[in-house]
Amino acid sequence: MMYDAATESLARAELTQLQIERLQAMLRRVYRNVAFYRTRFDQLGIDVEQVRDLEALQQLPCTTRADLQAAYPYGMFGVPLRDIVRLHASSGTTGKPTVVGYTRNDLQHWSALVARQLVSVGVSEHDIVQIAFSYSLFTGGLGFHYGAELLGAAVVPASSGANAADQLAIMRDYKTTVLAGTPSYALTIATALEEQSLHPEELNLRVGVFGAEPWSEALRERIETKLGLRAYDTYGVSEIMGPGVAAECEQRCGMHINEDHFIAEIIDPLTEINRGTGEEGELVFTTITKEGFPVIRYRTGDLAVLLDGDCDCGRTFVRMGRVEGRTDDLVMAQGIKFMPSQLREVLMRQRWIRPDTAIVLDRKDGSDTIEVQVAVSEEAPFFDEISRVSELRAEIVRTLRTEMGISVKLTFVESATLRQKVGTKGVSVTDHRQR
Amino acid sequence: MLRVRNLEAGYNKLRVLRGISIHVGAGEIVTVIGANGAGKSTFLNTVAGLLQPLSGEIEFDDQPLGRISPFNVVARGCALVPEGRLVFAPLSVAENLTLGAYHQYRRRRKALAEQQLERVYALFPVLRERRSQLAGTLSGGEQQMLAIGRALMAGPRLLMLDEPSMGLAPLIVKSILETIAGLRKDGVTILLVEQNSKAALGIADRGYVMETGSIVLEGTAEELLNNNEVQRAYLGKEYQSIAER
Repeated sequence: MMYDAATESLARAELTQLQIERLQAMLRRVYRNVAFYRTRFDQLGIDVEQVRDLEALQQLPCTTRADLQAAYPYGMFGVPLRDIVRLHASSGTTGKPTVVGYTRNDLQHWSALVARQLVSVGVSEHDIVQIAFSYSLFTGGLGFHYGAELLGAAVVPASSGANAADQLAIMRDYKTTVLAGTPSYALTIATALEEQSLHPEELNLRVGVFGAEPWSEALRERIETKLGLRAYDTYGVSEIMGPGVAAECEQRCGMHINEDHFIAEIIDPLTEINRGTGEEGELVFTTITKEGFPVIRYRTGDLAVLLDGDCDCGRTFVRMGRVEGRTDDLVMAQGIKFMPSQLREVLMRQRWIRPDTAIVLDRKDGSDTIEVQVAVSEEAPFFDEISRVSELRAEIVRTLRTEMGISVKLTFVESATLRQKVGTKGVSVTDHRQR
Repeated sequence: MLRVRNLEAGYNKLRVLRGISIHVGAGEIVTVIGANGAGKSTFLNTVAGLLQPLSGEIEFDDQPLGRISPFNVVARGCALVPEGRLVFAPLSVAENLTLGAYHQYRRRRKALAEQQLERVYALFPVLRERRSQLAGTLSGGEQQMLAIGRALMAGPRLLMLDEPSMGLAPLIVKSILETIAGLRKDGVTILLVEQNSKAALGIADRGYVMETGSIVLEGTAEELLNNNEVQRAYLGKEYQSIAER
């Protein structure tokens, strides 16, 4: 099923034509309306009229998070503030947040794109969609809300503030069929389900739409088994739109990028040189329809691949693989480079470990130490058996050494403390080596 | 059906079109709106072959259309209703229409042309009534009907209209545009250039906003009508009335 079949299955030549038309119009608008881009293009001697094909886009300079932060709050807006009807802000792992504005047309596009991705995983107007993303400056809650509403589903704006038990009660009593939220929150709900000795079959869940944080196939399986639903990955970036940028279809072989609104590229994070399909690199997006907050070649900091080939679902939009990590939190320790998410992935294969992970780096006698803090799942049968816990510890340390080549000190901490430390990102890195 | 990429055109050294990219899908009604002097007529005249492009591509049904004579553009199924009607004033209505099917007669397809004439008369009964009257004596609205009828005589699949509402009373504009919208069900695709943005967006599926030879906005008619900049610049809405909406 497609929400907008004519567009979603557009032939490549027609899609390219549409993209170039929208890109050219957008560049001219942005050049005229956004001082940041006008100044930069003038300084670099770039004439936007010379962008005649999609390849020419690659010659334009990238926009970084720092550029957006420097323009805080409204410097990057493409229309006067009176035309803006909604403001959101990105969470901002470091420094100032980025404020993003939406015009009425932007909101309509946004809703339609989210509706598109819901339909692509079989959600319809007959569904009851419980949105467990935070309703706040964060784009997740309202982004999914408007999309599900446009589709005609019954929307339950549960948000993520409620505790898991309350969330679960709503889910059971309202007969929720679709859950949208972060994968780690889904896992928390699943744990609450087990605590209350409920069976997933007592719920009506059918589909889970998850995103806003990196997760893994292993976690997908766990969530699916525990909640009795089919879980789908989605990808969104507030600076680009929010949810609705890319999402898996029922084939689950990568996330289709809504190419009629966003042009995606993969670049080498160091040289900014473009990479081909199938090669991992940093995801870069250009918005071609956004009015309120247009960005040209925005570097997301997310590492992923663009996939080659057609999808069996019939959509022609290019697919991206899972986000494999961030360009900006690459950890280098003990001579090994790794992504915190990689480490998390290894840990998540352990059945009795919660997915939150805190990594603490330090230096002792000239060599790096890596401390990994995790919490044992409350559901572990040996929760208070010291010998079993230390067995588990030894096993994890061994796995990390063989698989990633790092030797770590593993510390078990309170789940709540850890949750506080890692926040919604699920993983945190603290580096004490500078001092 | 029509695909234009990076089209540049102008008059002598004056570059009017500065890289226009536009497409029109089969069965669509697409409008190009913009202020006086934006380059809208230059654009249509270039597609029609009346002006030679400086650079860029024009494809009609996946075949290049640039640099072929206007006559052949019409023969390929792409007819223009020029700005200001340009009917042949000293000729009769019937003669004007016959000239529209010039290429059919040249190819000895007289029957086809006569069939087409019947369709035009059915569409605009007033033209049948006045078929022997001189075109110059018709009213503005009737001349516009004649100009459209003349273009339809060629049996086009793409009909390009340059400011059909110009100089006409609002009621006539409404009726003419409704007729144009009705052509879609006869399998005619429409590319409509208009300064009367509101009227044009009222019948179009999609639209482009042209400013000083460049396209600055593309979207569905609804999106363009919702765009505050379009409202301010082309729909005559002041800030205040937008705020008070």
